[in-house]
Amino acid sequence: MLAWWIAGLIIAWFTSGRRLRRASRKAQKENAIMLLDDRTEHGKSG
Amino acid sequence: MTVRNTAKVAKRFPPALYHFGYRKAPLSGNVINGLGDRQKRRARQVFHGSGARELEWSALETFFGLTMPFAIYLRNALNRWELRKSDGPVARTRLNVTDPAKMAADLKSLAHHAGAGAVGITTLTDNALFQGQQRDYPTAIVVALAQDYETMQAVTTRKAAMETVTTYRDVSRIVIRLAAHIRSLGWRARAYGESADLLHIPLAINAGLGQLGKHGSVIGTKFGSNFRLASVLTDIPLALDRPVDIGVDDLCLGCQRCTLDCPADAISDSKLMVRGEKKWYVDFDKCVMYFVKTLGCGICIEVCPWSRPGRGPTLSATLLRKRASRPDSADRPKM
Repeated sequence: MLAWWIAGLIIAWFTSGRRLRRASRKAQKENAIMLLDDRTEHGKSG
Repeated sequence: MTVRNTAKVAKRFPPALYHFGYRKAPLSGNVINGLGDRQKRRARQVFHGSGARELEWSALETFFGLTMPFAIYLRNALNRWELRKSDGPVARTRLNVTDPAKMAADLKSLAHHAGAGAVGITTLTDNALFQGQQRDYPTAIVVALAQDYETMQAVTTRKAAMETVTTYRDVSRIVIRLAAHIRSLGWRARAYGESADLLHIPLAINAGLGQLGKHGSVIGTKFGSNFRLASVLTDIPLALDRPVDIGVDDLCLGCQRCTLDCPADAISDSKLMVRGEKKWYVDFDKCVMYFVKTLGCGICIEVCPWSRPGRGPTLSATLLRKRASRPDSADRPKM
Protein backbone atom coordinates (compact mmCIF):
# COMPACT_ATOMS: atom_id res chain seq x y z
CA MET A 1 0.00 0.00 0.00
CA LEU A 2 2.72 2.43 1.06
CA ALA A 3 4.83 1.39 -1.93
CA TRP A 4 1.99 2.43 -4.24
CA TRP A 5 1.69 5.69 -2.37
CA ILE A 6 5.43 6.39 -2.79
CA ALA A 7 5.21 5.45 -6.47
CA GLY A 8 2.27 7.84 -6.78
CA LEU A 9 4.32 10.61 -5.19
CA ILE A 10 7.14 10.12 -7.67
CA ILE A 11 4.80 10.06 -10.64
CA ALA A 12 3.17 13.24 -9.30
CA TRP A 13 6.55 15.03 -9.34
CA PHE A 14 6.92 14.27 -13.04
CA THR A 15 3.33 15.03 -14.03
CA SER A 16 1.49 17.66 -11.99
CA GLY A 17 4.80 18.78 -10.48
CA ARG A 18 6.18 19.49 -13.92
CA ARG A 19 3.20 21.67 -14.75
CA LEU A 20 3.52 23.49 -11.43
CA ARG A 21 7.23 24.12 -11.84
CA ARG A 22 6.73 25.38 -15.36
CA ALA A 23 3.96 27.74 -14.25
CA SER A 24 6.05 28.84 -11.30
CA ARG A 25 9.04 29.68 -13.50
CA LYS A 26 6.77 31.54 -15.91
CA ALA A 27 5.25 33.61 -13.10
CA GLN A 28 8.70 34.41 -11.77
CA LYS A 29 9.93 35.45 -15.19
CA GLU A 30 6.92 37.64 -15.87
CA ASN A 31 6.92 39.10 -12.38
CA ALA A 32 3.41 37.77 -11.93
CA ILE A 33 1.71 35.80 -9.17
CA MET A 34 0.80 32.17 -9.68
CA LEU A 35 -2.48 31.45 -7.95
CA LEU A 36 -2.30 28.17 -6.06
CA ASP A 37 -6.10 27.82 -5.88
CA ASP A 38 -6.15 27.32 -9.63
CA ARG A 39 -3.07 25.17 -9.91
CA THR A 40 -3.32 22.41 -7.35
CA GLU A 41 -5.87 19.71 -6.72
CA HIS A 42 -6.12 20.84 -3.09
CA GLY A 43 -6.89 24.36 -4.21
CA LYS A 44 -9.58 23.15 -6.58
CA SER A 45 -11.30 21.04 -4.01
CA GLY A 46 -10.89 23.56 -1.23
CA MET B 1 10.77 50.50 18.71
CA THR B 2 13.14 48.29 16.75
CA VAL B 3 14.62 49.55 13.50
CA ARG B 4 15.16 46.62 11.22
CA ASN B 5 18.41 46.32 9.35
CA THR B 6 16.78 45.54 6.02
CA ALA B 7 19.88 46.30 3.95
CA LYS B 8 21.78 43.54 5.71
CA VAL B 9 18.92 41.09 5.25
CA ALA B 10 18.55 41.89 1.58
CA LYS B 11 22.20 41.09 0.97
CA ARG B 12 22.31 37.81 2.85
CA PHE B 13 19.07 36.07 2.00
CA PRO B 14 16.49 36.16 -0.81
CA PRO B 15 13.85 38.86 -0.29
CA ALA B 16 10.36 38.05 0.99
CA LEU B 17 8.74 38.62 -2.38
CA TYR B 18 6.57 35.87 -3.80
CA HIS B 19 5.53 34.74 -7.24
CA PHE B 20 2.85 32.47 -5.78
CA GLY B 21 -0.17 33.13 -3.64
CA TYR B 22 -3.85 32.45 -3.14
CA ARG B 23 -6.81 33.94 -4.99
CA LYS B 24 -8.89 33.29 -1.89
CA ALA B 25 -6.64 33.33 1.16
CA PRO B 26 -7.06 30.35 3.48
CA LEU B 27 -7.98 30.86 7.11
CA SER B 28 -4.94 32.40 8.79
CA GLY B 29 -2.59 29.83 10.28
CA ASN B 30 -2.33 32.10 13.30
CA VAL B 31 -6.07 31.74 13.92
CA ILE B 32 -5.83 27.96 13.50
CA ASN B 33 -2.85 27.90 15.86
CA GLY B 34 -4.85 29.79 18.47
CA LEU B 35 -2.90 33.04 18.54
CA GLY B 36 -4.65 35.29 21.05
CA ASP B 37 -6.77 32.44 22.48
CA ARG B 38 -6.77 32.48 26.27
CA GLN B 39 -8.28 29.05 26.56
CA LYS B 40 -6.07 25.98 26.63
CA ARG B 41 -6.79 23.56 23.84
CA ARG B 42 -4.97 21.15 21.60
CA ALA B 43 -3.31 22.31 18.39
CA ARG B 44 -4.85 21.83 14.97
CA GLN B 45 -2.82 20.80 11.95
CA VAL B 46 -2.25 23.61 9.49
CA PHE B 47 0.43 22.72 7.01
CA HIS B 48 2.66 19.62 7.26
CA GLY B 49 -0.11 17.07 7.10
CA SER B 50 0.25 13.31 7.09
CA GLY B 51 -2.15 13.18 4.19
CA ALA B 52 -4.93 11.79 6.38
CA ARG B 53 -7.10 14.87 6.00
CA GLU B 54 -7.35 18.04 3.96
CA LEU B 55 -5.66 20.94 5.69
CA GLU B 56 -6.41 24.63 5.30
CA TRP B 57 -3.02 25.31 3.68
CA SER B 58 -2.77 22.08 1.64
CA ALA B 59 -2.50 23.88 -1.69
CA LEU B 60 0.66 25.62 -0.53
CA GLU B 61 2.04 22.36 0.81
CA THR B 62 1.40 20.63 -2.50
CA PHE B 63 3.17 23.47 -4.28
CA PHE B 64 6.06 23.21 -1.79
CA GLY B 65 6.46 19.48 -2.34
CA LEU B 66 6.11 19.39 -6.08
CA THR B 67 8.39 22.33 -6.81
CA MET B 68 11.25 20.83 -4.77
CA PRO B 69 14.32 19.63 -6.66
CA PHE B 70 13.83 15.95 -7.44
CA ALA B 71 16.68 14.73 -5.19
CA ILE B 72 15.12 16.38 -2.14
CA TYR B 73 11.61 15.31 -3.09
CA LEU B 74 12.79 11.72 -3.52
CA ARG B 75 14.61 11.79 -0.18
CA ASN B 76 11.41 13.01 1.48
CA ALA B 77 9.41 10.24 -0.16
CA LEU B 78 11.98 7.65 0.95
CA ASN B 79 11.83 9.04 4.49
CA ARG B 80 8.10 8.34 4.47
CA TRP B 81 8.89 4.87 3.14
CA GLU B 82 11.23 4.23 6.09
CA LEU B 83 8.45 5.17 8.47
CA ARG B 84 6.51 2.07 7.41
CA LYS B 85 8.53 0.37 10.14
CA SER B 86 7.25 2.81 12.79
CA ASP B 87 5.06 0.20 14.38
CA GLY B 88 4.97 -3.57 14.45
CA PRO B 89 4.14 -6.68 16.41
CA VAL B 90 4.96 -6.78 20.11
CA ALA B 91 6.87 -9.76 21.55
CA ARG B 92 4.59 -12.14 23.44
CA THR B 93 6.86 -12.41 26.44
CA ARG B 94 7.01 -9.16 28.34
CA LEU B 95 10.17 -8.24 30.20
CA ASN B 96 9.35 -7.26 33.76
CA VAL B 97 10.80 -3.78 34.35
CA THR B 98 11.72 -3.51 38.01
CA ASP B 99 14.06 -0.55 37.64
CA PRO B 100 12.64 2.16 35.34
CA ALA B 101 15.79 4.27 35.81
CA LYS B 102 18.01 1.47 34.53
CA MET B 103 15.67 0.79 31.62
CA ALA B 104 15.70 4.51 30.74
CA ALA B 105 19.52 4.51 30.87
CA ASP B 106 19.68 1.37 28.68
CA LEU B 107 17.36 2.85 26.06
CA LYS B 108 19.25 6.14 26.05
CA SER B 109 22.47 4.23 25.60
CA LEU B 110 20.95 2.32 22.69
CA ALA B 111 19.80 5.59 21.10
CA HIS B 112 23.22 7.19 21.56
CA HIS B 113 24.85 4.08 20.10
CA ALA B 114 22.55 4.43 17.08
CA GLY B 115 23.76 8.01 16.61
CA ALA B 116 21.44 10.17 18.71
CA GLY B 117 22.88 13.48 19.85
CA ALA B 118 20.59 13.89 22.84
CA VAL B 119 17.78 11.83 24.35
CA GLY B 120 15.13 12.76 26.90
CA ILE B 121 12.10 11.01 28.38
CA THR B 122 8.82 12.60 29.42
CA THR B 123 5.13 11.99 29.91
CA LEU B 124 3.02 12.28 26.78
CA THR B 125 1.07 15.45 27.42
CA ASP B 126 -1.98 16.87 25.69
CA ASN B 127 -0.01 19.75 24.18
CA ALA B 128 1.91 17.27 22.03
CA LEU B 129 -1.21 15.86 20.43
CA PHE B 130 -3.46 17.39 17.81
CA GLN B 131 -7.21 17.71 18.15
CA GLY B 132 -8.92 14.39 17.61
CA GLN B 133 -5.88 12.27 18.41
CA GLN B 134 -6.06 9.53 21.03
CA ARG B 135 -3.51 9.37 23.79
CA ASP B 136 -2.54 5.74 23.27
CA TYR B 137 0.75 5.78 25.16
CA PRO B 138 1.80 7.27 28.49
CA THR B 139 5.46 8.06 27.76
CA ALA B 140 7.56 9.73 25.07
CA ILE B 141 11.24 9.26 24.35
CA VAL B 142 12.49 12.26 22.39
CA VAL B 143 15.63 12.05 20.27
CA ALA B 144 17.60 14.98 18.86
CA LEU B 145 20.09 14.69 16.03
CA ALA B 146 22.35 17.57 15.05
CA GLN B 147 22.65 18.83 11.50
CA ASP B 148 26.04 19.62 10.04
CA TYR B 149 26.61 23.23 11.06
CA GLU B 150 28.84 24.21 8.13
CA THR B 151 26.44 22.74 5.58
CA MET B 152 23.51 24.46 7.26
CA GLN B 153 25.16 27.83 6.91
CA ALA B 154 23.97 27.61 3.31
CA VAL B 155 20.33 27.86 4.42
CA THR B 156 17.79 28.63 1.70
CA THR B 157 19.84 26.56 -0.78
CA ARG B 158 19.45 22.96 -2.00
CA LYS B 159 22.54 21.91 -0.09
CA ALA B 160 21.06 22.88 3.28
CA ALA B 161 17.63 21.50 2.41
CA MET B 162 19.21 18.16 1.56
CA GLU B 163 21.07 18.15 4.88
CA THR B 164 17.77 18.73 6.69
CA VAL B 165 15.91 15.89 4.98
CA THR B 166 18.90 13.59 5.46
CA THR B 167 18.98 14.43 9.17
CA TYR B 168 15.25 13.65 9.37
CA ARG B 169 15.96 10.29 7.74
CA ASP B 170 18.73 9.52 10.21
CA VAL B 171 16.80 10.57 13.29
CA SER B 172 13.80 8.57 12.05
CA ARG B 173 16.01 5.50 11.74
CA ILE B 174 17.12 5.92 15.35
CA VAL B 175 13.57 6.09 16.72
CA ILE B 176 12.44 3.21 14.50
CA ARG B 177 15.26 1.08 15.92
CA LEU B 178 14.46 2.16 19.46
CA ALA B 179 10.76 1.37 19.07
CA ALA B 180 11.56 -2.04 17.55
CA HIS B 181 13.80 -2.81 20.51
CA ILE B 182 11.09 -1.87 23.01
CA ARG B 183 8.56 -4.03 21.18
CA SER B 184 11.02 -6.93 21.32
CA LEU B 185 10.88 -6.56 25.13
CA GLY B 186 7.13 -7.09 25.05
CA TRP B 187 6.02 -3.45 25.41
CA ARG B 188 4.16 -1.30 22.94
CA ALA B 189 6.15 1.37 21.11
CA ARG B 190 5.65 3.47 18.03
CA ALA B 191 8.21 5.67 16.30
CA TYR B 192 7.30 9.15 15.10
CA GLY B 193 9.76 10.58 12.62
CA GLU B 194 9.20 13.52 10.33
CA SER B 195 5.50 12.98 10.39
CA ALA B 196 2.77 15.42 11.15
CA ASP B 197 1.15 13.25 13.79
CA LEU B 198 2.97 14.50 16.85
CA LEU B 199 4.24 17.84 18.16
CA HIS B 200 7.82 17.01 19.08
CA ILE B 201 8.70 20.47 20.45
CA PRO B 202 6.63 20.44 23.68
CA LEU B 203 7.83 16.91 24.34
CA ALA B 204 11.47 17.88 23.81
CA ILE B 205 11.06 20.78 26.25
CA ASN B 206 9.43 18.60 28.90
CA ALA B 207 12.09 15.94 28.35
CA GLY B 208 14.82 18.43 29.18
CA LEU B 209 16.34 18.71 25.72
CA GLY B 210 16.14 22.49 25.79
CA GLN B 211 13.83 25.49 26.00
CA LEU B 212 11.64 27.27 23.49
CA GLY B 213 13.50 30.03 21.69
CA LYS B 214 11.93 33.18 20.26
CA HIS B 215 12.20 31.61 16.79
CA GLY B 216 9.72 28.91 17.86
CA SER B 217 12.28 26.10 17.90
CA VAL B 218 13.91 24.32 20.80
CA ILE B 219 17.30 25.59 21.94
CA GLY B 220 19.47 23.06 23.71
CA THR B 221 22.85 23.53 25.31
CA LYS B 222 24.78 21.17 23.07
CA PHE B 223 23.49 21.91 19.56
CA GLY B 224 21.62 25.17 20.00
CA SER B 225 18.76 24.89 17.52
CA ASN B 226 20.72 23.11 14.87
CA PHE B 227 19.04 19.72 15.26
CA ARG B 228 15.98 17.76 14.25
CA LEU B 229 13.64 15.80 16.49
CA ALA B 230 11.87 12.48 16.44
CA SER B 231 10.10 10.54 19.18
CA VAL B 232 9.01 7.12 20.35
CA LEU B 233 5.73 6.76 22.20
CA THR B 234 5.65 3.76 24.48
CA ASP B 235 4.14 2.16 27.56
CA ILE B 236 7.35 0.66 28.95
CA PRO B 237 8.01 1.98 32.50
CA LEU B 238 10.78 4.57 32.36
CA ALA B 239 12.29 7.17 34.68
CA LEU B 240 11.34 10.63 33.44
CA ASP B 241 13.60 13.60 32.78
CA ARG B 242 12.79 17.13 33.89
CA PRO B 243 12.61 20.38 31.94
CA VAL B 244 15.81 22.41 32.07
CA ASP B 245 16.53 26.08 32.48
CA ILE B 246 19.63 26.90 30.47
CA GLY B 247 18.94 30.64 30.23
CA VAL B 248 17.28 30.75 26.81
CA ASP B 249 14.79 33.45 27.86
CA ASP B 250 17.62 35.57 29.27
CA LEU B 251 19.21 35.67 25.83
CA CYS B 252 16.11 35.72 23.62
CA LEU B 253 14.58 38.69 25.47
CA GLY B 254 17.54 40.83 24.48
CA CYS B 255 18.93 39.15 21.36
CA GLN B 256 17.50 40.18 18.01
CA ARG B 257 19.57 38.07 15.71
CA CYS B 258 16.74 35.92 14.35
CA THR B 259 14.15 38.72 14.34
CA LEU B 260 16.46 40.92 12.28
CA ASP B 261 17.66 38.19 9.95
CA CYS B 262 14.20 36.80 9.19
CA PRO B 263 13.41 38.28 5.77
CA ALA B 264 9.72 37.57 6.27
CA ASP B 265 9.66 39.53 9.55
CA ALA B 266 7.82 36.61 11.14
CA ILE B 267 9.51 36.49 14.54
CA SER B 268 8.03 38.45 17.39
CA ASP B 269 10.17 40.29 19.92
CA SER B 270 7.84 39.43 22.77
CA LYS B 271 5.93 36.41 23.97
CA LEU B 272 2.34 36.09 22.81
CA MET B 273 -0.76 34.32 24.09
CA VAL B 274 -1.26 31.07 22.19
CA ARG B 275 -3.89 28.53 23.25
CA GLY B 276 -3.88 29.71 26.84
CA GLU B 277 -0.13 29.96 27.21
CA LYS B 278 2.11 33.00 26.86
CA LYS B 279 5.07 31.90 24.78
CA TRP B 280 7.36 32.71 21.88
CA TYR B 281 5.42 32.52 18.65
CA VAL B 282 6.31 32.81 14.98
CA ASP B 283 3.77 34.37 12.61
CA PHE B 284 2.67 31.34 10.60
CA ASP B 285 1.33 33.21 7.58
CA LYS B 286 4.53 35.18 7.09
CA CYS B 287 6.87 32.29 7.90
CA VAL B 288 5.25 29.66 5.71
CA MET B 289 5.38 31.69 2.51
CA TYR B 290 9.10 32.28 2.90
CA PHE B 291 9.58 28.67 4.03
CA VAL B 292 8.04 27.47 0.78
CA LYS B 293 10.00 29.91 -1.34
CA THR B 294 13.34 28.85 0.14
CA LEU B 295 13.14 25.03 0.32
CA GLY B 296 12.31 25.01 4.01
CA CYS B 297 14.23 28.15 5.06
CA GLY B 298 15.89 27.53 8.48
CA ILE B 299 17.55 30.96 8.70
CA CYS B 300 16.45 31.56 12.31
CA ILE B 301 17.87 28.23 13.42
CA GLU B 302 21.23 28.78 11.82
CA VAL B 303 21.80 32.42 12.78
CA CYS B 304 20.93 31.71 16.43
CA PRO B 305 24.04 32.30 18.57
CA TRP B 306 23.35 29.05 20.42
CA SER B 307 23.73 27.01 17.23
CA ARG B 308 27.43 27.71 16.78
CA PRO B 309 29.21 24.47 17.78
CA GLY B 310 30.75 24.57 21.24
CA ARG B 311 29.16 27.88 22.17
CA GLY B 312 26.06 26.66 24.02
CA PRO B 313 27.58 25.50 27.32
CA THR B 314 29.61 28.72 27.77
CA LEU B 315 26.69 30.90 26.77
CA SER B 316 24.34 29.10 29.14
CA ALA B 317 26.80 29.30 32.04
CA THR B 318 27.36 33.03 31.45
CA LEU B 319 23.62 33.80 31.24
CA LEU B 320 22.77 31.84 34.37
CA ARG B 321 25.66 33.45 36.28
CA LYS B 322 24.54 36.93 35.19
CA ARG B 323 20.98 36.17 36.24
CA ALA B 324 22.03 34.90 39.64
CA SER B 325 24.11 38.01 40.25
CA ARG B 326 21.18 40.35 39.60
CA PRO B 327 19.45 41.60 42.75
CA ASP B 328 16.00 40.75 41.35
CA SER B 329 17.03 37.27 40.22
CA ALA B 330 14.48 35.54 42.44
CA ASP B 331 11.63 37.29 40.64
CA ARG B 332 12.71 36.32 37.18
CA PRO B 333 10.32 34.02 35.40
CA LYS B 334 11.60 30.53 34.90
CA MET B 335 10.57 28.29 32.03
